[in-house]
Amino acid sequence: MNESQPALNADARARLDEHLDSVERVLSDIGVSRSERRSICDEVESQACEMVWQRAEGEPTEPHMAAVLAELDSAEAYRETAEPSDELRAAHPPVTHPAIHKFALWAFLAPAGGVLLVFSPLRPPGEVPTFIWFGIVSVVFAAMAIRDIRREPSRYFGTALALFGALAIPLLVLNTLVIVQVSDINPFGHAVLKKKMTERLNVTEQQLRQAQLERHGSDVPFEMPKRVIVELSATEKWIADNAPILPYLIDISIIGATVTFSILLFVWLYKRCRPRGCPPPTAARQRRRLNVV
Amino acid sequence: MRSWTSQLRKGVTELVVLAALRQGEAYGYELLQRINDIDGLSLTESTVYPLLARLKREQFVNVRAAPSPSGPPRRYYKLTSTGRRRLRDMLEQWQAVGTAVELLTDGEPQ
Repeated sequence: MNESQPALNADARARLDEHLDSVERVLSDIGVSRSERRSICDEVESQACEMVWQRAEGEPTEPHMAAVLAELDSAEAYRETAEPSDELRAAHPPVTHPAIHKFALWAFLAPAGGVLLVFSPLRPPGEVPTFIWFGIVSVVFAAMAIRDIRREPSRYFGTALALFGALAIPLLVLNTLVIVQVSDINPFGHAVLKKKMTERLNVTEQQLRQAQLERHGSDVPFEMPKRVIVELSATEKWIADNAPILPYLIDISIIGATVTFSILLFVWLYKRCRPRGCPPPTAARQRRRLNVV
Repeated sequence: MRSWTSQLRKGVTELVVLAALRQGEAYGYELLQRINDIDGLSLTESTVYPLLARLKREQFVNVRAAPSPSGPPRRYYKLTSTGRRRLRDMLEQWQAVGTAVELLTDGEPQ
């Protein structure tokens, strides 16, 4: 208060203070800083005093003050217009609702689709594992998802899913190579065996042709015997004996190892990628607390 | 319509206050009267004073206190150079939007 300020009578002063206290309380509720609360209340006080002295002929009384305050905005009006301090805003940033990135989901589902397709009747013929194409698609989806998630973390999540999808097929291939290296098993043994047998039969046929030519000349037409004994090595015998189930055994072991490893990796990544702390539950609740419109 | 008008006024409040301060420094109530003297602009203290507090925080205005014959010291607000720049930028945006809307509303339907 300034020394030149004319004093209000006690009742008028009390009425004004009551209003100022209400404004102060609302501003404090919103989170307006102390200095700004004081600044705003000083302005309101200054305006109320100026208005009341203009109206009253002589010393203003409580009814004069009541009439002036009736013309001013209510304390609640400040709830809509004042802003919380920077500190409070920083402590409680606006809550958004991030959604799972669609490409992250597709990246997660694609390898599973590829593996399922391998065991389905729709599996295309050929030796090239079909799921590798799904792996490539998955890696592309995952890369796009992770790029978006990094750019807008408040809008998207799903890094762990994308990473899982991107790594699933490469890990499957890696596991295959490891298994082949460690166990000395050729996963394409069945096909290799067939090829070797064919080659050996061709050689045998050539040898038989040659033998017949030397024995009977070219007058007698050559006929391949219905039964030919071909000697196999121990490994080839094992492959030949287990040929019908071998590819499935290999597939199952590879998939089992991949799934186990991927789940462990997923859990580890999830723990690393999830946001720290517990975010406030909803934006509406946050706004209510801060009284921000 | 009322809601739209309210939103429009809310959107231009800062521009209006800065533009009013361009006419010269003023204390809070004086600034309020200066604005409300113009038809079509109707702002109340619960809008202007918190805004002035923010403008001060963002250093768009300077404040000095001077004694008042009728109450507590008056706080006189004056545009800073940053505030002038801000006003100029806002006016450019305002004119761009205004011109665009005029083009749309004045143009004959095709």
